[in-house]
Amino acid sequence: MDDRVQRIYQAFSPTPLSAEQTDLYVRLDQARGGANVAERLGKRIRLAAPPTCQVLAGHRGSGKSTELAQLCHDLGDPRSGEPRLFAVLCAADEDIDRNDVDFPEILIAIIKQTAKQLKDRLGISLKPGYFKDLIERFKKVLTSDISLDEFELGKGLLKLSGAIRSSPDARMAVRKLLEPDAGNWIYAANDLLGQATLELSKKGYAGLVVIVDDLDKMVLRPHDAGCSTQEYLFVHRAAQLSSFACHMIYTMPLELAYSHQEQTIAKLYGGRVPVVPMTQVATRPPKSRPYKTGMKLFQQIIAKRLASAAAVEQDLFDTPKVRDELIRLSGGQPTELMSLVRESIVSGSLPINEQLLKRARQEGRRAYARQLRIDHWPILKKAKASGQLTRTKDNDQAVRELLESRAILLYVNDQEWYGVNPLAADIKPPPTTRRKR
Amino acid sequence: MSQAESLPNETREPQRQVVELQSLRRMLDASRGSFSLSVAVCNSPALRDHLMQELPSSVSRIEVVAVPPDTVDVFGAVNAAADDAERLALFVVGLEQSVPSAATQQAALRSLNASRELWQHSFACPVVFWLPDYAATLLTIHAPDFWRYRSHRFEFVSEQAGIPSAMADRFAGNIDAASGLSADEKEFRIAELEQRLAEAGTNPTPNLVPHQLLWLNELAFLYSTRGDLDRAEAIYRNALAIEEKLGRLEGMASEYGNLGNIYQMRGELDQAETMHRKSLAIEEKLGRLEGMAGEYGNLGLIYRMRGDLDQAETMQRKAIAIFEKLGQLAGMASGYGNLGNIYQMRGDLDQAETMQRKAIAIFEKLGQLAGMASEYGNLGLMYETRGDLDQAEAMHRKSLAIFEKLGQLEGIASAYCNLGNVYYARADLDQAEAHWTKARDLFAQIGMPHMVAEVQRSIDTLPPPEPTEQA
Repeated sequence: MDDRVQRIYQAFSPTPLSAEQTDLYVRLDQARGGANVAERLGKRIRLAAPPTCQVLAGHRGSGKSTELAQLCHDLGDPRSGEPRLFAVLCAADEDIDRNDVDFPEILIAIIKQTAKQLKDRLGISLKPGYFKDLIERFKKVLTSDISLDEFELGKGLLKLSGAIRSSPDARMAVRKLLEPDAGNWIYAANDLLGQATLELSKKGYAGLVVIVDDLDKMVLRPHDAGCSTQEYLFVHRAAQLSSFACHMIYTMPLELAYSHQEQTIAKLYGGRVPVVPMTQVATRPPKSRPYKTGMKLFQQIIAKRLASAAAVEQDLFDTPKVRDELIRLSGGQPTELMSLVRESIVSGSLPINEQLLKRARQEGRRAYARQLRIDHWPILKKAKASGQLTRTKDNDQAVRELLESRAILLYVNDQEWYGVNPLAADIKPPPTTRRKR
Repeated sequence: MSQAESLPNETREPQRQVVELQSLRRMLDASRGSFSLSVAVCNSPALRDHLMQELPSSVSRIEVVAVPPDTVDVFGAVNAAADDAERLALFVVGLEQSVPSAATQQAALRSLNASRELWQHSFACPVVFWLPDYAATLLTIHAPDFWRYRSHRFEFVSEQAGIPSAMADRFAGNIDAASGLSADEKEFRIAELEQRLAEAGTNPTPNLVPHQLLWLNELAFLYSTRGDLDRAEAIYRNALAIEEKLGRLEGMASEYGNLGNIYQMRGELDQAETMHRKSLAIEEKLGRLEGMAGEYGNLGLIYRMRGDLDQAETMQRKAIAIFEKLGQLAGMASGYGNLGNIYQMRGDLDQAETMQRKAIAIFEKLGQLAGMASEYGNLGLMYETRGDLDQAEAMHRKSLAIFEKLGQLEGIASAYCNLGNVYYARADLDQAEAHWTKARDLFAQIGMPHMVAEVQRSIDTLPPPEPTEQA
């Protein structure tokens, strides 16, 4: 593979952009019904006197993480006149097992990553304070070989979170220890956050914002409390999730924002549940056509990625038609666009032509065809024809599954509407068998 | 922006709830004698019960029917249980226990939907379903026809349903950790907090204010454990002034309560009562049941110190009742322990023992060792009053062992002091002196001069050692 192909392949990474990659960032709000989600979250933080606690929902791949990284950048480097805030983007996946998440692990992840980023980015070392005593108690219950003797907050928590993430036994031990003593843990955490806020104020920052990403990806399972694991964390644990003495943002599974708990969650987290919709690249059914604004924005994304690889459009695409078809197939999901480009690159030699495009399309369809059940089809059919979803008590589960798997995508212009993922749209339903009379 | 919108959230919320309660009263009056269907959304069963108690002043006869868990035929269950023909209104509670949040097939709601017509034939009065938020939403989805029949929806609180007690922590958590520090550690901590407060300045940025309040409260707490009550009072008053300036009612209630504790420690009981009543009034206004229960408990302690044991008991029972409704076991355990102490003062030692053992059992279940240790200490005092010195010693030793395990020096010192009293009662003066001396030195080590003085007074009552004969 020559250098140029390698550079282009690497430029089209589906990993969300970091706060520093501003050269690759394209603001997509125009094609998301002017949602300006990141800006609104930031505004609430700037306007509120007491710390805020907000949630953000959205499809996987809708660009939540990129928006949050951009928010981090904007908070730390604001327009003139606005106060500067220090934002910690906490990738929860590093410290928690998404199959089994509860508040104790989130608390430890928040403190660990805040301490680490303060040290790495500003050279601020937090003193362990009451955490020292509490973590000493872990040593007695954790059977795994953790040495916290050379205790320093960052190092101690690094080892602890490693054990929690990889060992269900360690997780249980930590929860058992923390549960009856949660008040002390929260106090200890807030003491550290207070220390951090004070040190930040000396460096000209007007406050601390912690953004916990990846919680939207937690696995949906029944919980012992008689609800889903997602509901347990965001509803039953809300008092604790909102007990930190700094601004907090948590990403939340999209299904929860469309469940009967939406009202409750809205009240618990600041009055509304913002959702990052997909970028609209086609107009609403029944007369679905390419949506120029969205298409142009996605073309900009491609142009910026190519520029970063010192390449031009002709290097990647045989014709503009091929480019636009890839954009259409992405359904307005930036990560899907990246995956489709990468899939096409590895399928043959550049530039991507109709033939390679066909393969990428077939691969995508096959993936969806394997997921769809017979009861999904009437819902897909209706969304495809009208852009609407009708939820009933019988199809509720199926609708959730389709949203979760991104077979159905949420868009917003004047109002919310649903589109069938273009990769799933062309799949034909299985033939129905009729009984002979 | 309307006047209500310009108020801080904490002020707005109770005002809105008062308005909702007035609307509910008006509805009950207007709908008297005829059927109407309403839904009252309230996430906390304890607050719901409290609100229901607020109503009878205008509506004298409300029948409350609880739907048993896992009911399918809701109408059948309510119809069978409702037996007050003179009722002016019917309140249906507990339906949420038949409406599991995770289930896709909501049998109870489906049957409710089908029973829509039956309600108005059976009940010629307003019927109000009290539901938590999630169940009200499920009602709209799974019982749409029934829902369309409703005349009103009242919303009382945004608090969530059924948070287990251990999870319902205040924003700041708690400061138990501070009481476990040794005297040296306390000195370091005090210096650290004073340094932080000095750096934050007298006019800190808005983001630092919540932290400034936490630091002030912990600092005052640390001074109070050292017996420096004047300084603690000054700091609490400073925190109160900040809370007042910010209009944060919950914070003000908390500072009044803290000031009440300081007056109580000084023995200025009238002042203490004034402060706790101020705190209680705010908690009532905010509808914060947990805060109310705490203040009833504090008032109970003051009445006990005054010797007004009946009032003391009334207050502790009020506190226990609320904690019970909230499912807050730790609060219940403290209440039982306090009741035990009241019975002990009355000389009803059997009842005292029952209550203290109840408290221990709950603390044990919760794994709250500090609570267990304190109650073992109280049991020891009770056995001492009975004259059963062996049992008294056994209990104080249990208490000592737990405090030692926790490293809580103040508890260890108290246990030594109590053991000294037991030896003194046995006339084993050498052992009494040895234990009191240990207690005194520990109190000195953790910086509690007032306790050092008190134990020293006990040591001073001992006769001087007899002079040994010269050889």
